[in-house]
This record gives sequence, structure tokens and C-alpha cells, in this order.
Amino acid sequence: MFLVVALQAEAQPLITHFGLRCESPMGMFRIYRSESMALVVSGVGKSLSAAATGYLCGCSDGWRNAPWINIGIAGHRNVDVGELIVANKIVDQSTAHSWYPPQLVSNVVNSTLITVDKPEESYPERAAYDMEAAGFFPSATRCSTGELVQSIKVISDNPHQSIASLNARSIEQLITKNLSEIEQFINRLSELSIEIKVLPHNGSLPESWAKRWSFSVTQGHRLRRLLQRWKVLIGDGETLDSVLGACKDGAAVLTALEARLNAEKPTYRRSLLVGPRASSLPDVQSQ
Amino acid sequence: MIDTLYIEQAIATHPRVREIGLRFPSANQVMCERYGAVFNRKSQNFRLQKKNPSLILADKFDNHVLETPEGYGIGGRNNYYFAHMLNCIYDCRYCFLQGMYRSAHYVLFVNYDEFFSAMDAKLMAHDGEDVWFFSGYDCDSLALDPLTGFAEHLLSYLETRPHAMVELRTKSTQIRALLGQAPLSNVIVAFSLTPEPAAVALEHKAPSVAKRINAMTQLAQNGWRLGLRFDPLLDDVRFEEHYQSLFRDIFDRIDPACIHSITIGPFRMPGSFFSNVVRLYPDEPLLAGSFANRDGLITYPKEREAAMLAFCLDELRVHVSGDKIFSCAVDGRDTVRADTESINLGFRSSSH
Ligand code: SF4
Repeated sequence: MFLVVALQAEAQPLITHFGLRCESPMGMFRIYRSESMALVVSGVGKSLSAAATGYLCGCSDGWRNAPWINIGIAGHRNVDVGELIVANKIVDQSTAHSWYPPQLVSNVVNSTLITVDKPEESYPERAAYDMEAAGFFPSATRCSTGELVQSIKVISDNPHQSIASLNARSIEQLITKNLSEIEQFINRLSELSIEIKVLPHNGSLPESWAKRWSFSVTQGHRLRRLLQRWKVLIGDGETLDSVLGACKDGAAVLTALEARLNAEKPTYRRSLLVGPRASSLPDVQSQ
Repeated sequence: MIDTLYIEQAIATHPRVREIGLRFPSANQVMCERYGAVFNRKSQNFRLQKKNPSLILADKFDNHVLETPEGYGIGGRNNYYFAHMLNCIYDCRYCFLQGMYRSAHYVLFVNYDEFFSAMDAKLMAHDGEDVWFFSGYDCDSLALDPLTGFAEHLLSYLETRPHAMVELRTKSTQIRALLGQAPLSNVIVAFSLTPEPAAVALEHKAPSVAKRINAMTQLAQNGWRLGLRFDPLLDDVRFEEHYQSLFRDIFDRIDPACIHSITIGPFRMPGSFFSNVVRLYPDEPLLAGSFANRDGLITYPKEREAAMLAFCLDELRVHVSGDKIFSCAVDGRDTVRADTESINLGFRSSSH
């Protein structure tokens, strides 16, 4: 889980809530981590947000297809201060370029989010206004799939409550008030990311086996798939040893695995839910 | 349920867009320039999106009707296909759409009339001849019909074009538009079928085989001509038993006289699509099975494919005369029996 946050005041409630520790106070950007989460404080503006996203990726493992979330404050023409929104469309005002983060989590109100270069105080459109999302999104989608890359913003100002009234304390309070919803959102994205987790290169090849044979990169890809197939078709029903015991090199391992797997076929069983064949024809439901 | 509706700005006031918008009053409406900005974007995951697909309403500018690959058809000379939608509400694990598209969102092209104009142009080009139009290559022809109403428009168009022959390809039981009117002799309602155990395991969210057979029965009783599509054929340790049982279930209920045509196609998918699907579902038993790569096309090994086709042809010929059966195989004649019609593999993917 990777969080990209512009201001220290926005980050602080998250750092406290998730028990993150500062990792590199002297680095290009300040990074905070726990075992399952990393947060970078980018500074204000889309260029810094894009750079900090790349920096966090470069300093981290496990970034591929992980959730990447940009959290912060934003103004909005029609939404009350203190409400949380998620961007279903991000517009870079200076280039008119748009992105559409796919929405799979429904606990947060959706809004268009326009990234501006200077604070927006007249709110011309029915949209939220921030200064980072259009830098963050294209950068983070190089690390992960778009469904897991999201910008969520707490509304901090609107036509009735000016941006000028904001200070570090009020910003911290706005984020703190929404921590539970933010956490729910984060957890849901984490669940989704587990489903598409990228497997390690050598699949589940036991370490002793990996030492015994060497595999080129291409062979490694093939091996990974063969071991996936083994898990699906044979599982624990047979040991790898019984098939690979006599193999002299990596190529022989691949050939032996493939031959064994190709002898297997899937088995589809008649569904218990459907019941016996002849008596189960229900009425058509044409809605 | 649709949570997000993407709408191309230029058609925001189109009556069909308004009507569909009203059907989802609590959906978020997001305006976009062109549907491709949402649909074709990199960094999308089909599997994740399939959990909650959005609906994209778009205008199709060109290529409304396309020529099928040479030789493809069910007996006609002039063959075209079209898709008023991209993607499908069902989630079949063998579906090539999940390997072809980055996004699982549904795209509905709302300018139906332009599809019909394009069909008219093809009819003019083949003046006086029958022209076949295959619907449902990039979607299921009927599954979302209660929302799109496309079938009703298409049927009323077809009423006055006897030379326009249309195949509606479906796994759906959404047949109300068809049952609500007199049958048309230029429409074939073609149902895709796999044995029930494979359907339960692989055709997620699709109506059961029993419900499909029931829908076919109703259509046949109302005079509609039916097609049976066993494409893809799916291998399994009890392949013969399962297909025998499927054919028996069908012909116990359906009079062979109501069958216009039967097609049989072995599982096949372009290598790049197959790799994409494996990446999405590495743990899917179907995809972990034994396949061959024949000139970039992933299929069952040649001998097995030939045996599967031969078995099904023999079994089907017990029920229906050979001239109604069309079969296809990657290597053409050497695996297709001479006593049935052979069709070009045509579309390089087995198509629901
Ligand atoms: S195979 Fe056909 S019915 Fe199944 S998901 Fe694909 S388009 Fe839909």
C-alpha cells in the first residue's frame, strides 16, 4: 500500500493512525513506512507529486499492482467542507488532458477532480480542485493498474468557506475526521490487489531445487507457468520429486514437467445445485 | 447495477442516452470526449473491472458493419458482422474478449440507425441476394436487451428487408422482444451451449444450460428458427459422456425441424489473447490444460481436436441431417470430416 500526500499536515494523521515511521529524513522526499504501508510527502504541485510517486516506487519493493493512493485536501463548488470524495475523472487544467480512474469501491462520493497550477478560489465547475492528482495518476499507473490508483480528497474549502481560512491544524483535523472512511477505502483496495498479486519469478520452486538447476530468464517464465499449472491440475496429489528426480539441467526439468502436465485434463462435475439432468428445466425468466 | 455511466459529451442529449440515464438514477455520470479514452487506456485490469463494470455510452463513427473473414458463414455467400455493444454481462472463463480488451466496461453504441444504414448499403451492394449479418461477436446479442432495446429496433428493421439474414448469438434468456412479435424467417436465434458441468464451472453469471434450452423451446414454439452453437468445444475427462448428454437434453426438447444450423468449433484463441487471459486467471483449470500453439493460435493438440470434432459430428448426425452442420478446425479439411459442411475457421477465436 503506497500513499502519496502533498503536505506534512495532511500526512501526520495518517502517519499516527497507521503507525508509520520516518525512514529517510535526508532523502529527496520524506518517506514513512510500516510493514504493509509506505507514505511519501511530496510537497505541493503536480510535478512534485509525480516525482515523489516515482521516488517512492524506486525506494520500495512490492509496488507492482499494489494500491497507490493520493490523499489530501481539495476545494469544491458544491460539496460541504469535511466531506470525502474520490476522483472518477482527473483533469489537468493546464493541458486539458483527462484520466478516468475506474471505480470499484463504492463507500465514497465520486467527483471530477481538476488539478490546477494555482489555488482555485472561484470554483467555476461542478468539480473538486486540487494541485497534485494530474501528476500523481499518470505516474502511479506506471506502477500499478488503474483500478488500484486513486485520488481521495477531503473537501477543505468551497464558495462559503474560503481557502484562506486553512492552516496546518485545520488540515490535520479534516483528515483526522475522515480516517475511518479512508481506512475502509484503503482496505477494500488492498483486498482487490491480493486478487491480482504478481507471483515471484520462480513460482513456488523450492529453494533446494532452485540451487540444483539454473534457468535463463525465458526458462524462468516457462517454469513459473508450469508450476502454476502443476498447482492447479495436480496440487499436492503428487510430489515434484517423482517427476523431476532424474533431470540433469533446467531444460530437462521443463520438458519433464510439461510432459507430465499435458497428460492431465480438467474435470468438470455435474453441479449438485442443478440436480438430476432430466428434471431440472426451470421456467424461462425473460425479464 | 451500474454505478458509473461514462457518456461521450457529443451524445449527452441523445434521447437513448437520456433514457438509459434515467434507468440508473443513482449512477455517477462522467462525461468523456471519446469512449476510447476510458475503454482503451493502458493500465487496466479486466478481472478487477469485471467485479463492477461501468457502462459507456458512445457513438460509433465508422465500420458499423464489417466483412467476416473469407469463407466464414452458415451457408450464405455474403457474410458480414456487426456489434452494437462491446463486452458482455456474463463472465465465461474461455471468452476471448477478456484477452482482447483491456477494459471490462460495457460499451453501447447508441446510434442504432447508422448500423441499419450500413446494413442497407451492403444489401444494395448485393442487390437481390441474401446477405448474412452476424451479431454478437463482441458481445452477447440479447443479454443486455432489456436495457438497450436493440433487438426490437433490429427486428422492425428486418421486417421490411427479407434479404437481410441475421444471426443473433446468445446465451441469454432475454427473449421477450422476440416472443412479442411474429417470427421472422430471416432471423436465426443461435444459442451457445456447453455441457452443464463445464457451463457451471466456466460460464459465470450466464443462464444455466437448462434455462437456455427452455428459452429455445419457447422460441421454437413461437415459430422462430434456431441455431445451435457448440463453440468452443471444451475438453474434459468425460468429454464424450458430457456432450452426449447435452445433445440428448437439447433434442429431447427441441424438434430438429426448428433447427436452421449447427456449428461446432474447437477451442481456439490467438496466442496474445491467451497469454492475457492466463495472466488474469493463472489458477483457472481450463487454461492450465494441455494446448498447442499452431501458427500463433492456441488450440487443443491437433489429434485431440480432431477426435473431439469427429465425436460431436457423429453424435449430432444422429439427430440432424449433415447439411445443417457446419464445423471448423484450425487445419481445415484434414481434421474436418468430408460428410459435413466445412467452414473456414474464420474468426480466430471460438466465439461464445
Ligand atoms: S463467451 Fe460470450 S456469453 Fe460468455 S462472456 Fe464472452 S461474450 Fe459473454
